[in-house]
Amino acid sequence: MEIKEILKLAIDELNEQLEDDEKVEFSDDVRFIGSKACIDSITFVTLISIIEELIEEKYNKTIHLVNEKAFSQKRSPFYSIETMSAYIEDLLKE
Amino acid sequence: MNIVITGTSRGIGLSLVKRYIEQGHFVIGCSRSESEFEHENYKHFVVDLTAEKEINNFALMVKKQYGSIDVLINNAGIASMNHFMLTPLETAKKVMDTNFFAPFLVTRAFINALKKSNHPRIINFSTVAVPFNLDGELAYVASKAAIESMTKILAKELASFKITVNAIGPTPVKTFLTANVPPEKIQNLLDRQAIKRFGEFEDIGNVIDFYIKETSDFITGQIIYLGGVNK
Repeated sequence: MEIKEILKLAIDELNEQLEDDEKVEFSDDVRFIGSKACIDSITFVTLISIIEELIEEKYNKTIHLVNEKAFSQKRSPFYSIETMSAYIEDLLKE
Repeated sequence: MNIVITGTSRGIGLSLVKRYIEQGHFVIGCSRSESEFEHENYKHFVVDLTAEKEINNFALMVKKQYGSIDVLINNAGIASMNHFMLTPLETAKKVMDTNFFAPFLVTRAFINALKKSNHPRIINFSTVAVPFNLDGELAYVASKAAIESMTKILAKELASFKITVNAIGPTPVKTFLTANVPPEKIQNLLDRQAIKRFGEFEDIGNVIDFYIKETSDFITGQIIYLGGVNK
């Protein structure tokens, strides 16, 4: 399963917990952090936790998305679906 | 319920294993060595709690075999009794590794499994040595003070997942941790309690029973000290 598909599943699962006017669109225009973020910090934590869980299920591997590497990058890997997807692929190769 | 307890080879950890099996729960324990205790409702894992990868693998195996867990009891701990001037840095780091960073990592590793429970609970272990600001145990007390902060902050940060986080602060209990403490020092500690006696395993189990009850959904971020000790 591709990482983007996992992110799609994660957002679907997240949306189940959100009110109608808070639902997150699966689009590369969506921002997860910064001033244009579509979700608050608690929802972001929930999303991270859902992604980690799905990766564990699909890849049988535990990864922590928020680590030193994430903080050391110029642009946050959590900026968009595209950046998040590339970042997770990198983590899985380690 | 599925209950995960760390540090179950002896002492308080082993007593809690037996307590919760007797109450009809399934208990998953871990320690650095194999356990001599065997029971159909007990599964033991050998885990070095200072190694993040081992902790993550432990959590992964538990999740695969048992799905969700309802209670995580961060019991494993070590003590260090020495004057500050006689405490090597390595000793202080080792105490922090086992008493603070291990619960930090174990808790993080089990969050997703806890989230699947209807009444998820995390129980941490502090000590009355924290409110006593006990001299001669700087590293140990500092590590447990960190646990108290972790308990209170996680209570807030995990509330949206309906996970409650509480801690117990036992008085001295007759275990391997207190076996090498001079009797006069122990007596001095007991004299500072409202009720001047050693704690028993039963006293600890009683507080944890309260925290993990289904009806304790509204109890979080609390530290209960035994023996009438207060901050």
